[in-house]
Amino acid sequence: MTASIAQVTFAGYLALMLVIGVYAGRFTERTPADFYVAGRTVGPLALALTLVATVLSAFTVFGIGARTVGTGLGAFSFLGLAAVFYTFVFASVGVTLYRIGRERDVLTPAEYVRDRYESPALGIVYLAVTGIFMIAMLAGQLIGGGVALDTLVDIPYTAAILVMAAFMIVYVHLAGYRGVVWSDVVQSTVLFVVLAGVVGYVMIGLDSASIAAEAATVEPSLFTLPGPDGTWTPLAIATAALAFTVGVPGYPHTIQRYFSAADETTLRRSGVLFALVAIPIYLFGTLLGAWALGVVSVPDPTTHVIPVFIEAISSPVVFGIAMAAATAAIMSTADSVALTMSSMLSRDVYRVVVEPAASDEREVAVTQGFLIATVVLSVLLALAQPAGIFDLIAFAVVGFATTTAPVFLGAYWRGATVAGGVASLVLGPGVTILFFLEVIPPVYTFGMHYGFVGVLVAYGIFVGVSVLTATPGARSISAYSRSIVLDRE
Amino acid sequence: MRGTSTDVESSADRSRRRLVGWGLGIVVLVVGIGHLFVVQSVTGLYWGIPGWLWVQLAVLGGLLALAWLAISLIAGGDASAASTPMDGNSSGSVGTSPESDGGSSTTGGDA
Repeated sequence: MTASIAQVTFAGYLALMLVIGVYAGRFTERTPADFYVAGRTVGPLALALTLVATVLSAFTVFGIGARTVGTGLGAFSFLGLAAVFYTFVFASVGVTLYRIGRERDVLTPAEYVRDRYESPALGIVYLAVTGIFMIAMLAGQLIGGGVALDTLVDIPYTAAILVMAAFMIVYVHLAGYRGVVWSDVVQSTVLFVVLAGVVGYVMIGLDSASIAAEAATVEPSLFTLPGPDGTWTPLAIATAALAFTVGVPGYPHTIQRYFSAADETTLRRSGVLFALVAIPIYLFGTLLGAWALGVVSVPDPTTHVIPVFIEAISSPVVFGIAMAAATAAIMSTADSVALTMSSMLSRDVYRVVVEPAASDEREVAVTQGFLIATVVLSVLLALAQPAGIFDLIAFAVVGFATTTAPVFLGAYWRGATVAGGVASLVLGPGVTILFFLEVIPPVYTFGMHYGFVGVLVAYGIFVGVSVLTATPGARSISAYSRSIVLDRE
Repeated sequence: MRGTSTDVESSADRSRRRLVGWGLGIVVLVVGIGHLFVVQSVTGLYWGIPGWLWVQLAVLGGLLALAWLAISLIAGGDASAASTPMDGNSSGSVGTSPESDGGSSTTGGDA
């Protein structure tokens, strides 16, 4: 009976999201500008909340809990710090890319790279490399959703993954980017309210001090900054935060959101609003993960810890809403990634290489076809479960960070070259993958986060190779960034 | 652009504001990383949350306020300098749909 109430709540929430998507789909035109970036009309609050829903997702509810149980509350430190740093990236690089998008009618990150360097090949290399990390990100979301459905609805993991994938495909087909934004607004609000409510209930209604004291008896170092295994040294926190600072604002689906902003003030405001919402959510996730040890035994897998904790302390309805909100946010992230990936495949490969004369309607239809292929690939990876949620998504985030040199520096530096871009996009992510697979021993990070080392390699190679190769003109830099760069040259 | 004293003053003022903004940005970076070295010395649990985390939340709140100020100053410095042809292309944020929730004019210097 208890499970049934939770299941009904869960199913009802997902149905609501679908209704929102269907309704939003009625306003979505089958043109690339509308299907990919909602006609560039997204305001600051909606942009902030869609960024929250896109960035947080599975990582927040499932990955953070497991990470906190394993390494302590220090996990919050780098996430919170990174959220503050993001505001500067949104306000600087984000605004510049927004302007370039308007100036050149750019709709996708790969299109920007192709246009900036006047090189279709570099655009395709960018798409290929970021595609690896987008698939990893997408698979991480599906794993998170599978965990939720497995825990709550008691359906097998494989079936849960397939249900999530099917829901996602239908949702994006119906709604496009506008629908994603509308549902994100609801999803991130519900996620914030539910997590805040549960944390508030633990603090006020259940005596969080006693629960924390009990958790500390299970793992004495849980509440110290370095954590049980000493993971969170200041150097590790700072370098992880810096890697995420480059990575999260450099997600291809984040870059596409810069193009969707109604104006540049929107970007500045949404960066700060994002931090105001994201930092508490990061805090709630880590606190629930730590407090869980004072109430429940560590589940296997550890990623179940927050769902199991919420189920133990709340009513079935609250548990159902919490899990539904988490799963819906997961799917929102996943369909944002899938939409960006498929739109780049359609606009920057199909329309450039296969059928340059394709109509707008044809391009959108091809995007929808690529959407299915992208999701299927991610399902296969999710079924293999090559890593935990936190590891897989953290790998994707730092992987994206190593692809940002030609995007971010290219917006300002006219010395940037195609050769520098190719070398950076191949070697930066390559080094990161070798660290992730431990082909390169962790000792060679010298105590830093491995993603930060990858970022240093990517940016160093980009600058070095660009300096050594021919310098293009300044024409490809936007008027806005040119006004800044040329003032100093 | 270099004609009148008013132009020169306003240009200098913009540059100064932008410089102060980026200076504040560096302060945010330094304090953000620097506090990690001292905050772990705060011990104890309060309402189930460690003391170092309470301090860190206060630091992050302060840093966010500084970041907002820095961004406002930089935006004020950039807005006038970045008068560009595409300013006229902005459709603005209008209508009643949820995604257009009150965006403002294109050259936002008021962030």
